[in-house]
Amino acid sequence: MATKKDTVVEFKIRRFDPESNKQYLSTYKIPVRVGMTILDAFNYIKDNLDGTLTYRHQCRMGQCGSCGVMINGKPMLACYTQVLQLGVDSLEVEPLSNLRVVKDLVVDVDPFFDTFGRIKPLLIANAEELKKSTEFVQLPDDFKRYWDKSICTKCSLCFAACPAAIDMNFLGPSSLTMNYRFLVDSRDEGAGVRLKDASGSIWLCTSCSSCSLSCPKAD
Amino acid sequence: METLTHEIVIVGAGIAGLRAAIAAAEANKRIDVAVISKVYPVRSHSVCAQGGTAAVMREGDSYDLHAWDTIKGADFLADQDVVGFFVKQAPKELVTLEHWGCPWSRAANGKMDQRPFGGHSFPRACFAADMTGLVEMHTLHGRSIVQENIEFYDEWFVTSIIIEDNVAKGLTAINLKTGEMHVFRAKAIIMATGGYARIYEFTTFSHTSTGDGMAIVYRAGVPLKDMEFVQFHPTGLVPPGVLITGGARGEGGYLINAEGERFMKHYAPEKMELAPRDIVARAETTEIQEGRGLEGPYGPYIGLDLRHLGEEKINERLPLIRDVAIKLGGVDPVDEPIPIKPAAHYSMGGIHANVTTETPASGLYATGECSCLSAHGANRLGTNSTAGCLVFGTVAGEEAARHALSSGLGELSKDKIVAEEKRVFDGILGSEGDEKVPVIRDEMRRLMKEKAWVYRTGDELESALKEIKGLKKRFRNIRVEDKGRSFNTGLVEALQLDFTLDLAEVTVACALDRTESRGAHSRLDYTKRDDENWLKHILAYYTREGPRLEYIPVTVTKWPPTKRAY
Repeated sequence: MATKKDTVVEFKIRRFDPESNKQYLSTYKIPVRVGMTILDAFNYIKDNLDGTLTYRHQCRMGQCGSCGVMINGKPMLACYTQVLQLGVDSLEVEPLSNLRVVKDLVVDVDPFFDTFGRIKPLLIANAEELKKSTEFVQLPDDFKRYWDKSICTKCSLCFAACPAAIDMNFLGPSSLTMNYRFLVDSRDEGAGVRLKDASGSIWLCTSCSSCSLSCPKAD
Repeated sequence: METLTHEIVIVGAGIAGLRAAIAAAEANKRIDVAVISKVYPVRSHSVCAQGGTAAVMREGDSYDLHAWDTIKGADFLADQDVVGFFVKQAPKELVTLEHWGCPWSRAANGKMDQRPFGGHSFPRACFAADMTGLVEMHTLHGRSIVQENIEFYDEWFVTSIIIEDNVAKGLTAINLKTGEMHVFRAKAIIMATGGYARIYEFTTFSHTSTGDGMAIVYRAGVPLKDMEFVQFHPTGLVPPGVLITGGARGEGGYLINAEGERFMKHYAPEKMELAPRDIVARAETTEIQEGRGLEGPYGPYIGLDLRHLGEEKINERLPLIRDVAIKLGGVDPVDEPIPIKPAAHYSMGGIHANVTTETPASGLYATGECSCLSAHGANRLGTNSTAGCLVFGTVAGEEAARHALSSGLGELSKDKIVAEEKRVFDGILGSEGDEKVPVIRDEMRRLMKEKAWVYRTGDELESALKEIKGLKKRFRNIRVEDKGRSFNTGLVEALQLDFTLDLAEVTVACALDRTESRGAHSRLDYTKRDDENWLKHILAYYTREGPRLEYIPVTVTKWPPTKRAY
């Protein structure tokens, strides 16, 4: 259904069929219009070309973190990446790195989510304070110290980009960020336990910044 | 087939589901709670809520004022006892989230900040920039995963509920990873599965908002209530439909037509852009229909102009919608108005339940958008939904815990389980017809847009009903291309389509029945609100031939219906 306005882009997608335990490559030619995202292209394939293509998708606005995939070797959110802005006429799409593939582009994210159970994912404060029926006082400047670290969607792109994440002892960038977000939250009194939670594995970080570079919330 | 047993099973892990799980788990540490969700909890659509959560927090505001705003916004179809309870509980819920670490935006004095919002006569929307739902979800997620008595079943798809002798006894669900169906037995079941706006194409909703929980209990004999009331949000981004928060207008944004005019002065001279959503959505539709829309490659639209707010305020208060407008709409709101038009957004209707979230079936509770507790009537005010999810999530969790402690497990009849396995694996996955799921889905969405949108007429609704019945017939002849068991998203889409066809049918049947205009339901052939005949809720019961409708009265405690002007 390509029109004159459409550019044709080739999608080479890494597939995996768990039932036959086979990996293979599928190639699709997609008519791409201005504004079309990688996710739109996946949906176009599934609706029109190949109903067996399997991927996760949900909010289509970069908030739910479902649709991370590797595009030409880099982790990206399919819904938040426009095809034409990549400026190429052929794309390689693979499942996210560092996680076991379940089927096609769907990976097992349990090991990633499990890392949040290894830190304290909530405010630690004095029990007397928590009995009060009013909120804590937190000045806007104190709020700003941790705000941008509290909007992580847990999309796991950073985990896929991280060279240290292959070591299961490493908490990974996202849960370490959550741990840090509470450390610098003026309401939190859990510094001791939080530093301890991080100390076991933080030295595995190579400081390469791949996590920050792949974060869809870091502009 | 393996049977899994828990005292409480919660279906859905958005704000309402997670809040219910925490409330139940904390009510009694001996109660074991299961949370089943077809997506990982933090992937739920609740993360898309943006603008804020309403609660009376400051001097100058009052429960009566919040209640009155809600009831007037609801065009008097809300049950006033439910609203009264809701507004009193909301502040406590917000402070609870704050104590768990929720990052609320702050006022200069260090208290939680509040912004104005459509239909509210006091700035009572607590917010976290424009990512309120996201931070509420991640706060609840953190609190829920530390509970030792909550077990999560992530990426499990519930296909049916087993209700016998009017007692909810269990569920069937597919573990998507393995593709195997399992049976859950429980003493109490809470439905918290969200809305069904995916019966439309142009919608703010996530792809999986297909109302599964509503359709599942409807088929099992529990009535749906007030399903004709679908909210159209005034600011869906063109072209994708994703939400641009009402908070953009709360912060001072203008709506403009092709003449650059703030046209809301003709429709709601007092509240202007901050009138309730039904009124603004109709005003935009009228502007477009009368030729005053802006012209773009995706048809006529309205401009949401934020330029006068300045870059600094936009970055501080509305960072997400700036990013979304640039990435998905190709427009930077600092320099240009954002192209928007009405998009299907919320269902006021849902599973019939009372103020304690009890449904007519014993042991079955409903909360969040999938429920209809009649707090929102014919039109919900912005920021009342996340507040409702928190308040009534807690209620559902506590009520279910109370019920579970005082009742036993029911025996499940094998017949129903075998029949369900047959329906899913032989009837749908095994069907070898020539119809395609995406084709039927797109036709449903097209006809709902053409015939059951912002303005409705009896003729069009009749024709829509006929078309839906035709699509249901065609559905019996589908073929799912993917025949594998593991992570079969083709099968999931087919099951979801099956559910949405039922919900589209109920929506249209109720819209046809209600021969008046009230709140979000506007009939061009019955343009007036008719309190004499229609100050009542419609209950829709499943039959093989289509919904059977009954009526129950609206509870009026304090505020008899009056003229609704803004």
